[in-house]
This record gives sequence, structure tokens and C-alpha cells, in this order.
Amino acid sequence: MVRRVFVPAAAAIFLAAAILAAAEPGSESLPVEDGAGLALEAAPGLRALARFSGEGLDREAWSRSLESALLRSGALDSIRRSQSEGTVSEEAARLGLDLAVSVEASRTEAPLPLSLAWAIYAAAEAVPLAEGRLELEAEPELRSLGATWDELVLALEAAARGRGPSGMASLSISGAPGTRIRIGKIATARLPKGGELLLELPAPASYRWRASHRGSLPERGILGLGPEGGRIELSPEPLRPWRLETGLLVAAYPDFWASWRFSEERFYLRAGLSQYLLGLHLADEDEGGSAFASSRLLQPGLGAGALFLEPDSPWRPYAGASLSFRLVFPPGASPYIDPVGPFSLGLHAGLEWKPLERWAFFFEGLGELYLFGDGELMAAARSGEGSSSSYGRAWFLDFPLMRFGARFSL
Amino acid sequence: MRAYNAFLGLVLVGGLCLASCWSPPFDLDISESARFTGKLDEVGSFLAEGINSGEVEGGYFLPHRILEPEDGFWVCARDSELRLRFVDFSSGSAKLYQSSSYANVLGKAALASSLSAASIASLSPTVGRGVLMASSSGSDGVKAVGVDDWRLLSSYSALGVSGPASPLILGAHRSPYDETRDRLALLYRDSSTGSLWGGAVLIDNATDIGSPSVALVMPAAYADLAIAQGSFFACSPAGYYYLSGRLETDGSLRTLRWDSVSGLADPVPLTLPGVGRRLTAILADGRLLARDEDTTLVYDAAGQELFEIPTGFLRFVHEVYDSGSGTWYSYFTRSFFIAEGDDESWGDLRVDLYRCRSDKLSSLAD
Repeated sequence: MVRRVFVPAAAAIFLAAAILAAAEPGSESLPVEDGAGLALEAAPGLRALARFSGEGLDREAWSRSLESALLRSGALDSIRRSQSEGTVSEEAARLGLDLAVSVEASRTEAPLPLSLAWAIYAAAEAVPLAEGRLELEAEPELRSLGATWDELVLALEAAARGRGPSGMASLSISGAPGTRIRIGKIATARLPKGGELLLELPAPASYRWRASHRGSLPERGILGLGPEGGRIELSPEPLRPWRLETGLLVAAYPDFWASWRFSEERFYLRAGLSQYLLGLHLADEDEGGSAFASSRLLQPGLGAGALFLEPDSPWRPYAGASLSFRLVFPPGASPYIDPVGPFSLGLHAGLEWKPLERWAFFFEGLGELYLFGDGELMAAARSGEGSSSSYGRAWFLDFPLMRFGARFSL
Repeated sequence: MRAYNAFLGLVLVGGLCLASCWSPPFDLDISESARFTGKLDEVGSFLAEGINSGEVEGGYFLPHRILEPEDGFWVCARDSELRLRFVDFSSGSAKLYQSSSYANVLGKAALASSLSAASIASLSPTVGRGVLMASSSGSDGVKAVGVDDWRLLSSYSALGVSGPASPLILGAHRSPYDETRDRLALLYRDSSTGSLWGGAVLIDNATDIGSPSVALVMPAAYADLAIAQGSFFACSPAGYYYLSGRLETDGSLRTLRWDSVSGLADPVPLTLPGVGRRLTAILADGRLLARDEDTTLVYDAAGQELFEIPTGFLRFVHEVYDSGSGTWYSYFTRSFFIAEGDDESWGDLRVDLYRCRSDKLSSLAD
């Protein structure tokens, strides 16, 4: 009965973790359209990111003061506070914002005890549009901080005037002919025979883009398109159709499978072997028995299934079916197909997580329907081991089961 | 990454917990048995649901002794008790009726043998089912019991035993004599003198069994043999008496055969050293069977091993004569208890019946 409680629980934990991970801010799995759409629809105001840093200062109060001053200028439609430690312009681009403002305070020796170095960037650009330094003769009172930012606000207004989404710029794209590229929400195109494409897009703006080509892994990125134009050079990685995987069925019995993915990794065929010659059996260890279990049974099989989401998605759900047969190895005799349960039709559904280029990890829920045998004898073989699986005269259903493991792309 | 690490940790810990309680639905012995039964003719099978395991544990199914049985008895022979209950699976679903309990000093060697409808006509006039049993030394220790209208084992007639002053039963067996008759052999010890007493009586399966009496005699030799209770004692169709059992003194196996002319008066019975296992049955052709948990050995009438059958869970129960084809068939039954989930005290009982031509038993050998 424990099995019936834990398997769905583990599956639920797994799926919940996957959903949380997918919803994590800044994740690559954010919808592409969001960032690009915001960037283009920012007029008449712009959206900016602000970051204040400095040792020994009330960071919250200084940040609030900076953001209020910038927003009061009227050059901005909205402002957000930086939440990460990376480059502020890249963070702005990732969030689909137009500008980034950075202020770094440092204490110096008297008579100028406080220095504020500031910089204004266009999103995704490394070179600042404007930068300067404010030298303060004395640390201001918190309530009078607003006046401190006058110079910075003027610089921001000047930068904003030059960054307004009022013009168009050229974007050159090169890559394999036939590549389909999507630029935010506003453009979808296919590269012609020459592999070169020129687009006119509103600029300055930042865009999320995604390119896909048959037989290759999709590419994606963020482009900061200035008035001078920009260029995207595509060089996609080819898809790797072959995979080797090893799993642990019900966290007890290791198995081995090879799979071949086709049709842009939307479907797969697989062949492999479930084995019961060696497995873990920790319950008996508590009762003084062995921590290992062994049955003289192998279960080779073939299967097919479908994968969902795109091949470059870090999380991919999948589902499929397998047909396998049970091979008994009696001691000192020839192997034979088990007459008690000769064939098994397995259905599985799982989630694959690919944190590394060639390694993925998976968790599956599955059920095995044994056919053309003797379901009652199969139940008798399992009798007294806590199973409440269903059975009939000629069938036996082992459900639910779970399996997890790793896949390696060849 | 901390979220991912936590997730992986949960999966692994949860997985290791699961590893503690799962095993594949596979048992090598059951698969071997299923493979072996492919050589046999299936006669019947039933599943009795909602059974208390304590009531059927250690027992076996004894079908009614006809070619196509649809009922029979569940027999549990334990150390001090012989428990019988009528089982009917003629309607498709099996039903086990109330059990009856009898004193038993023969352990697993207690005799429970299916009687023909004609034999049990007066004791089971409506149902026509009954059992010949021998399990204790009392005046009704050997008796024929009939199934009443409530499918309970109620009416009985005791078989009389004459000879020993203080009879203590040591063994009993019913074996075929010819196509229509069997022979019931009984072995006692006179506890006042310590001597063995044995004898046999013919049972005509075509007539009412009544209350026959078995006149026992002291064997001319080995009358003081210290053979243990629960020994095998039978008379073959050719008239040989066989005794196979363990000595009370050292537990060693002793198998003897008295000749067919003099019977127990044979002054020099043969010791059969080739028999390495206590005998359990005699076939109509005089061959001897010796069953243990894994195999059944088949010996010729002189105790020479002929072949070994990997019977496993299967148990030889009796032979049935097919008058149409003039063939003897050996019947085997097999049973499994299927516990409901992790509650091992309740579940379903699966029983299978098979048969094989007795003259083809050697084809079952490895």
C-alpha cells in the first residue's frame, strides 16, 4: 500500500518543482513574445532599470530616492529596481526594458566624503550612453536626497530623447537557407536560398529572437537594435537523434534503453532491457534480510512515443508505449518466455530536464499491462508483498509505477 | 540551482523509500510450474474469492473422483487435526462450505480419499459426495463421511477393525485394485504388545460402502518394527504389501515389500533400498510414487527408480479409470493463495486441476 501513496506523491513533487522552475523569473523558458512586445510598445515613455549600490549607506532609502527622481523626470514610463548582480544593461534587456541606470556610491577622504559614479545604458549595450560622477561635500540628509540626482536626471532626459522609438533600423540575418526566424511579436521570416535576410525594424529597441532550422537545435537570443542597425549570425548545433539512457524502475531495478528521435525530436523509438537480476530491496534489510533482490527475469522491449515542447526547451514532457516480453532464466536450463506473463504493454508519461548540453534527467510514471498469460498466477507471485494491483484471469495490471534516470545524447 | 537540487533530492529520497516495497510480479517456481503444466491436460480451474488464509493454509484440493470433476474437498492435514470442507465450482464461481474437523494422529499422511456417488449413496443420498478418511485410532478413526443437503460433512459410517487389543493407527492408504474396485490398507500397532497389525479390504466403487470390517493380522516378519506414525502402508493391485516410513529409533527411512502370494505371512519381506523417499501412492499398474515439495519419484513395483517428475506445486491426488477408452488417468491439483494487498490473512484461492494418462507419466520427466 505504501507504493500507492508514495508514487503519486513523488510524481506530484516532481511536477510541482518543474512548474516552479519554469516560472522562475529570468528563466530561458519565459515566453519569447513578452520581452519583445514590451520593448516595442514602450512609446511614448521608456522603461528603465535602476540599480544603486554602495557600502555603508541605507541602500533602500537611496534606491527609493533614485527611482523617484528618475520617474519624476517624465522621460520614463516606468522604472524597475535591479534584482540581480550581473551587468545592468543585460538585465534590462532580459526584462524587455529600454534603459538601465547604474549608480555606485563610494566613500572618499575629506573634504569630499561621498562620490556617486553613474552611468546610463541602452538595454543590452555595454557602452554607456552617458556617464558621470557626483562629488558630494557632505553626506546629505535622507529627506533631502532628491536634489542629489539633478545632474543624473538631466542626463537621462537627454539620453531618452535620443533613444525614443521613433526610427527604423536594418537587421541583417545570416544562416542556413530555410531557417525560420521570429523577431519578437513583430516579424517572422524564412531565410532565402542565399542565407541572407535584411529586415527593417523599429529602433532603438531590444528584441528577443528565436531561429529554427530542420535538423538543428533552435537558437535564441536578445538583440539590442540601435539606429545604426544590427546583425544576427546563425550557426545552429545539429540535433542529436541517438540517446542512451539508464533508469531505476521503482528506485529498485536498473534498466538500459537506447532511443532514436526523429521528426525534429517530436517522436522517438526505443529499444532496451528491463532486468530483475539485481535490484535494491531495502525493506528486507530492515528486517534482517539482504538489501538486494534478484529474480531470474529479463524483459527486453521496444517502444515509441512523442515529446512535447521544443527541442531546446529545458523541460520536455513526453509520453509513449512499450511492448516487451518476459524471459525467464531458470538455473541450469535454457531460457524461455514466461507462460505466466509472456507480454507486457507498458504506458509511460514523464518529464525530461536537460540542464547540460548532452545530459538530461527524467522522471516517469508508468503502468504495465501483462497480457496473454495468467493474471491470477501473477497475482499469486506477488502475493503478500503489499501490492494491490489489479488482475483478471488473463491479465495483470501493475500500476502505478515510477522510474527515473539519466539520458546521454550521442 | 537550489530549487533543482532540492527537487533532485526529493526524487532520490522518495525513490529510495519506494525501493523498499516493490518487486516484480514474478516467481520462478510459479513460472516453472506453469511451464510444466503445458505438458498436462487441464481439467478445470477455479478462483474462490474472499477466503481466510488460515482456513486453507497448508491444504490441497481433492477433486471428486470422476473424469470431469466440478467439485471436491479442501483437505488440510495438520499435526493434530484433519479439516475437510466441500468445494463446489460447478456454477462457474467457486464456493467453499463450512469445514469439519477430525482428530488426526497421522499428520500429513492422514488419508482423505474421494468416494464414488454409489459408494456414498446412503450417507449422501442427495449430493452423492463423500470421503473415505483415516486419521485416528478411535472406533470412528476410519470412516466414510457423506455430504448432506447443506453441503456439510455430517453423516458417517465407521469401518470396523479387528485384531489388535489396543489399536494405534500408523498408516492407511487407498489404492486401485482394478477398474471398479479399490483396496484400503490399514496398519496398526497394538500398544499393549508393541506388535504391528496390518490388513486390507476391497471397496467396490459401484456399491454402497456400508460398514465394512478389516480383519488385521500380525506380519510374519518385522512385527516388532518400530515404524513411526504417518507411515505409508498400502496393498498393490498385484497383492504386494508395502510399508514405507521412518523408524522411531533413529529416524531412518525403511521401505519393505511383502510378497503377493503370502501377503503379510511372507516370512522374508524384501527391503527396498532403492526407494530413497517415503512412498506416497501406488498406481493401478503397480508403480510406486514418492512425492516431496519439488518432485515426484516414480519407482517400479520392486522399488527401482524409473524417473522423476518436476511436479513442483502440483500434487498427485488419485487415478481415474476411463471406461470408454480403457485408460487410467493420473490427476494432479495445484493451488495458490493470493493475498489482498498487504493483508495476508484474506485473499483469493486459485485451484487448478490437471491430468495425464498414467501410461504416459514418463513423458513428464525432465
